[in-house]
Amino acid sequence: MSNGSIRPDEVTDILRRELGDFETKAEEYEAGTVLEAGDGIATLYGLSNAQASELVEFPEQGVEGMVLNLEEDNVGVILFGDVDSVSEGDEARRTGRIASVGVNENMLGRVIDPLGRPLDGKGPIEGEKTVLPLERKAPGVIYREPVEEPLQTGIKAIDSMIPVGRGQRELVIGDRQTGKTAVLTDTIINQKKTHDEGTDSGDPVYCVYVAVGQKDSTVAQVQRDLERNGAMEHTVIINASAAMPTPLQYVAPFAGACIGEYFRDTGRDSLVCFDDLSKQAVAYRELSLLLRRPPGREAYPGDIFYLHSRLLERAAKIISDEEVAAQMNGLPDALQDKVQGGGSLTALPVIETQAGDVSAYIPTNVISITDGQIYLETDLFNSGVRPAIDVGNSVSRVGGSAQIDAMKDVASTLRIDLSQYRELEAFAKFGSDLDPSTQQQLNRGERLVEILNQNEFSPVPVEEQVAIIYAAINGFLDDIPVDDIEDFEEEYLERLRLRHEEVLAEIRETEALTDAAEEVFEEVAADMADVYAEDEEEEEEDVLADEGATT
Amino acid sequence: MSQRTVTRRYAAALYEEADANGVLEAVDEDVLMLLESLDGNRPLARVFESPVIPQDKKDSIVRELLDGRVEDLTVRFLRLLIQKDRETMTEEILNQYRSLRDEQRGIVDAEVTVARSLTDEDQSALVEALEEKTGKKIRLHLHEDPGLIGGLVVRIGDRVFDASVRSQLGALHDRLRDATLSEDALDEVA
Repeated sequence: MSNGSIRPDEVTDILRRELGDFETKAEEYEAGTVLEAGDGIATLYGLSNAQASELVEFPEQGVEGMVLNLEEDNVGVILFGDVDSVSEGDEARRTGRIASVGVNENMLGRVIDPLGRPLDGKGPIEGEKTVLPLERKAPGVIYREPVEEPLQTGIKAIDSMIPVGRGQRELVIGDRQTGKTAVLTDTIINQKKTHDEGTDSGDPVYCVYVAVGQKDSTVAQVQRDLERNGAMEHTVIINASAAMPTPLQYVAPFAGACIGEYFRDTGRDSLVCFDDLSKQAVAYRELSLLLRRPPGREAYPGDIFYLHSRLLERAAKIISDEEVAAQMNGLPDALQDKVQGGGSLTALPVIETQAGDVSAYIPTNVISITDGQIYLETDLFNSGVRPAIDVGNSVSRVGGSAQIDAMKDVASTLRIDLSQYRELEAFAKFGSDLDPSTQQQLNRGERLVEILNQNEFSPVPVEEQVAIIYAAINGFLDDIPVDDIEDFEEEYLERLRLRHEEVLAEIRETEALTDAAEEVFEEVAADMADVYAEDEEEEEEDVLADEGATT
Repeated sequence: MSQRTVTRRYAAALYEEADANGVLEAVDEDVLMLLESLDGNRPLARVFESPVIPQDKKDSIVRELLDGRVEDLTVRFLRLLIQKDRETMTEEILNQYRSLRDEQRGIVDAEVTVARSLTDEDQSALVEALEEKTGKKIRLHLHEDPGLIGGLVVRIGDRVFDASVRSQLGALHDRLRDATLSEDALDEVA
């Protein structure tokens, strides 16, 4: 209780009033009996009127469950909470409620479980909640708009070559330990500035991070990283850790989508990260097998594709026409009078591959569902590329139209330059006698890779991305040693920020790259490139001089 | 095939055959008698359940025991079960037959739990009230549970009607507990 000065007579008063209002009323409900229970599922006899995904309660044990299987003479239920307390012969009651989560703004900054209960020890979540069903139909075609507004991740390699738009579903795929989660946390951190007043970074984006089947320590780490970078205030973390019952791991992504939809349907932008869907698929496989549904490929049930497709379909850019938006299909009653158009839900699902095998069942499914993928590779990671994005295998199918014009101008040749470099790189390993144009391409490629490198938790604003990429593709970096590129980038951007803030602000506001801005970039880049190139020559001379002295 | 599907099919077959031969009433009585004997007579139940007793032995036992005492159709039915290796399910099949007949005649089972025994008048009043509410004939099964403290709990099929003092006290308990936790209520008082 928040204040320590509650007098006993106040409590008595409340109790007396509650007692006065209490009516003796006979309870009427439908009950069934547990036939068998175990491993997070229970089979019930009776409850012949139960609906799919309805909540069932076990009053003696204080456990709730969700109806997943409706058969001729029994009902299959997945259990949330203390799974082992339910046993054969226990009573189960229908609640008449569909499995749902209560959502409100006070959830931001909190860590919750998939049913909306706080896990961070910061007390109950205050305020009235909008109760939204876990399973909900995605908005139809007429309630959607094409993806056009960018969602800036702050990661140079992504924003320039694999742009993500608001309302898009972009898969992050890769082996373990390739930095998948880092891509998500960086993206969430970069949304911080959309919440700061007086910046032109677009409408605020509310973030949901759904952790499925992960270690609690990893989730605590993510929470800490977000807190340290000031990104927790606009983020909800849903945690269904590896230690929680499988049914919770299965519903966690749906709960995440629910919270995202709350923001989406009230006219705001949201970002939901599912980390990761392969673990959810495994949880669902376990439940399906226990419910005796027939196994298919890799023992996954037949509807595993539908599991992911119906979840990711809920990512959408909602039409800005208020009247049309208000008629959206499948609107829960609780949202009926709160609907506003123009909101969006961007989904960043994660899939973990085994030894780079993207042709396994679940990866191919999710690749085909999403609007593109960001492919992270172990080899690149080991050779020092951060984030370790394999540009050749990564695509964004709808993000192109969401890129700002300035970025389109500078980044259009980036992808081609890079893939040519990768091709030549393989050849160049065989011999050293290369013609000057090949040498030149290799040279340029090396520097492009270097400027796309980026540290964790240091998102780069889009206008600065434009500035540095402009310098790189126009050859201003060609004479600078690769080792100095990082310093150059830092100093170059610093100088632009200090002396030419108006140019950067112009790009931010108009989203276009003017000739004047190009001139400024060229001038500063050329100026600084000279300094760095000279330094290099001097160093070489020094080395030569030293050698001369010793001989 | 699930056990329930099997029992339902055999029960339906028995019903249809009895209906066609016009011996429904007699078969009803036979089924009731058989169920009672199976319930009260362990050795008889074991004859049907045991996998050790050979088929022809079971067959002759059924014939000797029941020929002439029950309807011919009933004997033939039991022998069919033995022949088809389904005699272990005899009890379930007969129960299924009974609930099938109940459904047709509009009879429902009402499990009523009370705190202390009811007088005959109360019982008939209860049956009357339940029959009015459900629109069906009630077959009353009374149980006693002093834990209810007072009132009664009626269960018909899946539906439970709980008017016991125990659950009311439970509801009051929850209500008082939740009231003290709610901050809004505290603010109001302050």
